[in-house]
Amino acid sequence: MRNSGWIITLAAGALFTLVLSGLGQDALFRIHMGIITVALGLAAVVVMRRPDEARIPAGVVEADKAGYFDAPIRAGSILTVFWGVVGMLVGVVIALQLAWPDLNFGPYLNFGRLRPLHTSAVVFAFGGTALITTSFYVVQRTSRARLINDNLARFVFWGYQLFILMAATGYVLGSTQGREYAEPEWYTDIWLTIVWVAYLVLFMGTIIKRKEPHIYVANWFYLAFIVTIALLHVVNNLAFPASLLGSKSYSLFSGVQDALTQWWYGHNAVGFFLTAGFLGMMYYYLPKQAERPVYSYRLSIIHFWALIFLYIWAGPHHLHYTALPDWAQTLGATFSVMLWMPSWGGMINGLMTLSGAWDKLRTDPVMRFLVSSVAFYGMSTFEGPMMSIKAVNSLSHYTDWTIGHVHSGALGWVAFVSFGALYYLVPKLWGRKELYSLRLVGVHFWVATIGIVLYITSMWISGIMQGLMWRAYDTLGFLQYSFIETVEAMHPYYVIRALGGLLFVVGSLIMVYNIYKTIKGDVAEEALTPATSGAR
Amino acid sequence: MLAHIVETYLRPIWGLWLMIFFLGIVFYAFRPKNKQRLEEHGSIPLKDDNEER
Repeated sequence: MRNSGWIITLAAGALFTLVLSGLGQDALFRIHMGIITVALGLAAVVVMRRPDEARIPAGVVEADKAGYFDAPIRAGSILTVFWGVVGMLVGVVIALQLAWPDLNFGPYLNFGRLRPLHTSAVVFAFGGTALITTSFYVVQRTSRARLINDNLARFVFWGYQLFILMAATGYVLGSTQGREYAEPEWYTDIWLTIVWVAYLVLFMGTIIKRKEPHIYVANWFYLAFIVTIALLHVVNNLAFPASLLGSKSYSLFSGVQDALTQWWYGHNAVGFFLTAGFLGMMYYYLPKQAERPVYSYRLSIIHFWALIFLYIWAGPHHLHYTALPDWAQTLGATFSVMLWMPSWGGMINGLMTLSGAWDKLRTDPVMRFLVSSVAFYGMSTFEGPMMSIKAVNSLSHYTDWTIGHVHSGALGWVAFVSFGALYYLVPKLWGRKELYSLRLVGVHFWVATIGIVLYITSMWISGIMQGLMWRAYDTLGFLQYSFIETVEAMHPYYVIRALGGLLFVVGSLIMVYNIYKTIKGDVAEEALTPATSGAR
Repeated sequence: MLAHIVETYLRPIWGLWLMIFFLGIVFYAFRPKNKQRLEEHGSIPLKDDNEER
């Protein structure tokens, strides 16, 4: 039977987790292992039935066997869209919960459990799948070499999906380390470590056997992302399990060292997961879509090394005015401000790639996504260093301003550059000449952009108001507002934020439809008639 | 011996060493002699159009 090795592996894995589920020391561990057993069992059945490749033109499948290995990239494109919609929907739910607390349904659907579900779903499920998928695509094309091993690539891709499943179900069940963006418990962490080392071997191996003499800059960024995330993940999750058959573990760090390790991790998750990885994406898909080389390759070298040297030190700005020594806070702020330079160097490099071809912005909505993403990258990397300055931070920290800042980066930069890459990838991967409808891409762009604008402007107002209310004193020196008064004042902005998020989800659903039709091989009528003039 | 060198020379002023290393990269990248060669790398992603698959 075809794939018999995989079926046996999956079945053995299911058996192993079933035994763990039976031996588990606490209910949470037993239920969690039971869920994984079901997932592995279902995966074995799916592999046995062989995924339906009927919709993919035969030529494309044949080419896979001879040339580049694109099967996981096709699965990854679909799953990126899927996780994006799921993560963003959960985001809308928790935004509504903040506006109307009655929407908390305990214990499984409380804000406290759904919030890490949202952040991990968008960062690690949507963003991570997008990064693995595009890195597979980019490293093969720019190295002109097939991934070193098909089964290793399958293991990395699907192993990462299993990690997502373990993390997400864990959060809802209440299994958490309580470390922001690193919530999964020790056994999930170990699984991710195994998958990640395999990813590094796969990526490095492909680069080593490349036929192109030079390693293109996008691969440098992807490699920095893979190496640094390995380092961050392992160090921040150093913990001692209370039992090898239980779901609880204790961190090896304590006190201020714990806080610093956590935010060294947390900020570099932003720096190397959400920035370096997606810059790799930008340096490939932006020149491809524009059909011209990046503005300055030399600037991209400086961009890379400056980013690498500076980012790793910026974490302490998350701990201003805490027990962290003052010099460390100042160090973190200083490095954050210095990050302005590589960030803007990169932004200029991306934007100037279009110099002489700005008309593409008007005629090509996919280009609009990619260029806007770089503009948002520039904007949020201006805002971030500004907020890391201690005086500014004394107003902004712990307020909604931070949430707004994160979303201008996450929605504007990360999601937009991924959407651009997906719209580029899908027709190529399924052997279609073009997308189902470019007009729908344009609609998606504007609906999503209005969503972002509503989101970040409402959070600016709400956050600055919140910060000002917290520090307002009356003439006798008492605090002028109670905490609940600030919460009440923020209500209308929470509603606007939820509306902005909802628009972003609607935009993504438009993309789902467009990509579904493209994969099916349909072409909208509007695309069949050549555009006469003006914008589409 | 190596530990001695690291302790005495490298660790106390690591910032300076990294800075010098970084300036070396800047010098390498923007050296006029390297301009043409480096900028040609920019077209690597565009070259795969003809031989897609």
